[in-house]
Amino acid sequence: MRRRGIVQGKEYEDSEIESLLHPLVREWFKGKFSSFTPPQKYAIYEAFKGNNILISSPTGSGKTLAAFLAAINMLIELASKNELEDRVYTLYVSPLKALNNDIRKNLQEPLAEIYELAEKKGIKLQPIRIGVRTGDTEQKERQMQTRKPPHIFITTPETLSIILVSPKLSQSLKSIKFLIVDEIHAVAENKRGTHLSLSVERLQRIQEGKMVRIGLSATISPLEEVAKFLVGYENGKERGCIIADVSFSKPIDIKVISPVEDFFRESSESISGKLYETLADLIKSSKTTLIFTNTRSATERVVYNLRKRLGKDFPIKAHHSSLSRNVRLEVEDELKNGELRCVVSSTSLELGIDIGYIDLVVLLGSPKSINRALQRIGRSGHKLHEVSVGRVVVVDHDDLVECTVLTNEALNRRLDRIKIPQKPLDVLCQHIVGMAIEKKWTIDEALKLIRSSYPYRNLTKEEFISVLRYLAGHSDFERKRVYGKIWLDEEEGTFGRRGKLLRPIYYLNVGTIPDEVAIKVITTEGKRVGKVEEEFAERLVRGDIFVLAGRTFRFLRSRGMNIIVEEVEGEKPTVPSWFSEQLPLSYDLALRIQRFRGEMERILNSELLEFEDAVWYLKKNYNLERSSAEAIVRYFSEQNLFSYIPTDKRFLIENFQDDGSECYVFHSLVGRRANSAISRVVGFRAGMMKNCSVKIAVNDNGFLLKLPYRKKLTKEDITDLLKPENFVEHLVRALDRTEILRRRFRHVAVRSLMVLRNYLGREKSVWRQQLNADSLLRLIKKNFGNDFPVLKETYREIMEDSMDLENAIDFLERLKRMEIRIARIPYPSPFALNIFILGEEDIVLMEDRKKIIRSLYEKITRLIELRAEVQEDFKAL
Amino acid sequence: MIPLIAEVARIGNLMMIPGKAVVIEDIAIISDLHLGIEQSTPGSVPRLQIREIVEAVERIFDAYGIKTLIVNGDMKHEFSQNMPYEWDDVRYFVENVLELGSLRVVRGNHDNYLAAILSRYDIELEKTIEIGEWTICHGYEMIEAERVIIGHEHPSIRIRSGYASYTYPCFLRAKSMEGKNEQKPNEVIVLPAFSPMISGSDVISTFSFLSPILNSFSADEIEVYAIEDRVYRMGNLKELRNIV
Repeated sequence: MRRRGIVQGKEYEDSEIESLLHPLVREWFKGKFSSFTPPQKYAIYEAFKGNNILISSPTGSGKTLAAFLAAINMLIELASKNELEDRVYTLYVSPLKALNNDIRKNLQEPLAEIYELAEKKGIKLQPIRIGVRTGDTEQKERQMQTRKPPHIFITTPETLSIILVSPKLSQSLKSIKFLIVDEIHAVAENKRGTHLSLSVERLQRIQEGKMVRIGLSATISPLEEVAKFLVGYENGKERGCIIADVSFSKPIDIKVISPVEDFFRESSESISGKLYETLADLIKSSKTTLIFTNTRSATERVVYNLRKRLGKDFPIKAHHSSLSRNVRLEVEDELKNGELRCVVSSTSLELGIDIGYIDLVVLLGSPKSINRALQRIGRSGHKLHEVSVGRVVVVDHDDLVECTVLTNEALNRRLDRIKIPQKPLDVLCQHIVGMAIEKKWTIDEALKLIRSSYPYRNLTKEEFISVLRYLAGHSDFERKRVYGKIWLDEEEGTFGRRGKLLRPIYYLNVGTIPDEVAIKVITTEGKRVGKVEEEFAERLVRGDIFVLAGRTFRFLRSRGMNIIVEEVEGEKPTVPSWFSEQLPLSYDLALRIQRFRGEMERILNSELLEFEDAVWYLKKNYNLERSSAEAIVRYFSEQNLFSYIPTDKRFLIENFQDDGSECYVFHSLVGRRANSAISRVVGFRAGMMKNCSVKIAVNDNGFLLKLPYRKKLTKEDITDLLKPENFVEHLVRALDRTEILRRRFRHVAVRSLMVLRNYLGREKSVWRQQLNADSLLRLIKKNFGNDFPVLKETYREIMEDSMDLENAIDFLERLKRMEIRIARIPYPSPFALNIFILGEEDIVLMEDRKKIIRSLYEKITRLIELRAEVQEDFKAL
Repeated sequence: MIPLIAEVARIGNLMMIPGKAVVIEDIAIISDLHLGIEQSTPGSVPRLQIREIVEAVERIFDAYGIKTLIVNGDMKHEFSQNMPYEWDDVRYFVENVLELGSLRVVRGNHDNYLAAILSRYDIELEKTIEIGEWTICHGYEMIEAERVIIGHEHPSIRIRSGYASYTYPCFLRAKSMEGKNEQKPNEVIVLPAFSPMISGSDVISTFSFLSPILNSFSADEIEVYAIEDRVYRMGNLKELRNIV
């Protein structure tokens, strides 16, 4: 029986599941395992019954078998009856290329055992083929897969979208029984996931029978939404899906550790010394430690310092995505073989690669989201019933507060909600091209297919047609449509592919990860120091100082695909920090920290309670060590004495002067993504209001506006700046001419196939051929308006994916019910310090092109005049 | 003293104007239109620049009483063939200019197939054009002449302000300090790219030029004139590289 809607699953008895198994499989299973694991109890029975299922469970819980057992059973049954045909029965898709070979191994092993068993019993089985196909698969193997399709086919989302247009191989994908999508949590929130969801619907269209969808995910919330994302819609109705939520079957033990008692009263050298000491102690006290940092550069730094401190007896290695594949595999092997005492990683070990025995996970600095914290900590205690042990080592005061709240939320298992991107038009462009290669379509049937993918359920026909027109070149003002990738007949309501080159163009340009051309960085002595992204190199100006691999360099000149630099020590970088991919704090967690601030304020302002009581309260309710609790209480008391504590009920804005400018720190603790949006709008409005240039700096806890001297904002001014009305309009205007707009526009232009990164095998960088992103943007706006799909998607991506428009507005609405407090103070308060020391981001408004060239011009003029004077003086002598 | 700031920069009767053209009496010289560049970009960039280019030319004719326009090379973009849109764009351009005055075209390195389109308007593709003491050529090969005006280089300067960087197209003026030399011109004016889609190459951070003519000068022989609302004389390139 097929169930409708999204429903919570249930655990089945071992006997119920066993009764469905083929005798061989049953015997094999019983000989190997004592019982089914929780995810298996939820999933296998449902899969047998043909129900879609989403399994959310930690690693090491027998997830793979939970997903595959029904498929294996089916294949064994067919093989024993000699009914196995040359086609794909089970398709497995994982975003992790590295995982694919692991999965093959994990399947080959049980199959080999079952075959051994069969042989002993004299049962003849046809061979079952397993094939892996990714971008790395060799031509020879690809051809073999086309001739003899594997019964279990393991691939990546990108490769799947290519196979779909392959004339031969797509034929063997027509009656898939099981589709397994692994690591959904890693893709649901980004465009790779959107891309995959459309591929799955395209795959669904060519199915001749029922295709059961099985999704695997780590800890994620809300599961209902992820389930919808997995199964999509059929004729406008949600497909059914069972949710197997076994995410919390694994016990966890998390604690915050502060390396020093008071971050304000220690020098940065002593803090970092104690930090490494703390890490070293943790490593010594456990067998194998996995340390997570938030950036790749931090990973290198930590490894370097720990090696220095611990010496040869404690083998330590780094593992991150910038390292070559071979190095990473080597580290993974050493880890599995127990040869390492410690591995330091950024995000690369977060996902499901089998990493063997880890007894302690250390998070250095806040992981910024509860889900990520649980996922990372879940890497320890690999076996299901072992306790996962995690220690969060904090790096400053704000981090301490954040992690205190975070661990508490994690222990109470309150997850933050994920956000699935809504109808990205650039991804849609790629799929329309792919679909056009498959066949001729009517607009309506294509729209129906696209709407069955969850992210596109609300796509309007107008939006769809505007994308078709763009791809057909109709937006152009002439009759000849030479740019068109597809033809579009609006009268007949049909479209299809155009030109023979479309297939190779699709093959070479499909995918959503913007791949950057690497530019070599070379010193004046000719030494290679590393690589930077082309985009980064392109915006460098002579004299710029930037950080690469922990060292500081000055940019001198560019030469072809190289840039020439000199090393400079101790100089402040002039290039923005947003290039380092720091993780943003989730909005949900941010709100909980706001509430925590409120809680602290009530305690500190209660006359009955003293310092000790507050410390006791934190120790008791937040499971803190005494020193950490004291540090928090001191931090809040100092803020309370000096200014006010911003809380969930009070929005605090602090004003002070610095170096001739008026600084305003807005303590809007809503996470960097929402703060980005709010700060740009507020900065834009302040510039308009006071007719001056405004600089902004943003972090998770708030933002800073810097106005020229004497440009004071009154309370009424500030209230006006924070109004939610016209927010989007002002944000669009504030984004004009910013780096983020250029950068995102380039990515979207490539994803929409407007500018091809790879044209008929020639990989060339079009942008580097002097094409001007600013002019392109301006001319598109002028000729076609902001609704042009490429432009529309650029703004959507910035506002919804990169920033958090929804929650920015949500917060401004909340403000209406909050107290707005302005504190004029002599210098930055304790809470404002971290925001204050940030570098400023793009300049908002007023600072226009004219002014910049003028100021340089004036500088030069002065210099020339000065020289003339010197010459005069010289003559006079 | 020469006024440093002015709407235009003058060298004798020659003016460098903010409209990215050099004007000598009633003649305007522009270069590097790269018509059809949208189509030569692999992908599907729609046609964007033709109308704006024609409007800009119209403004120059109006503002400076121009009778003749000289396109100093690279009128269109694609080297190897005439793309369908290039026909349209070149025709649209030529027909509009001919309504304003006369048009002369210097051959650029991209203009291999341009003659076929121009022949119907009886416009010759010229290797060089002499205007008074100036020789106008595209600049992709060495020339024997005293004072020349070239294109080809797409010069611009990039300046940082805070965390943003800004690019300005510019004119260059190179003047030999070593006196007369038979092997190379004595004075060179370089035009910026007229195409709004080309941001140009930053002469501050790129140390060699495309044009062999320009390459025969050292940085302290080259003066930079940046274009924004006016033409700004930014001093010589060597110093500019030190200051920025």
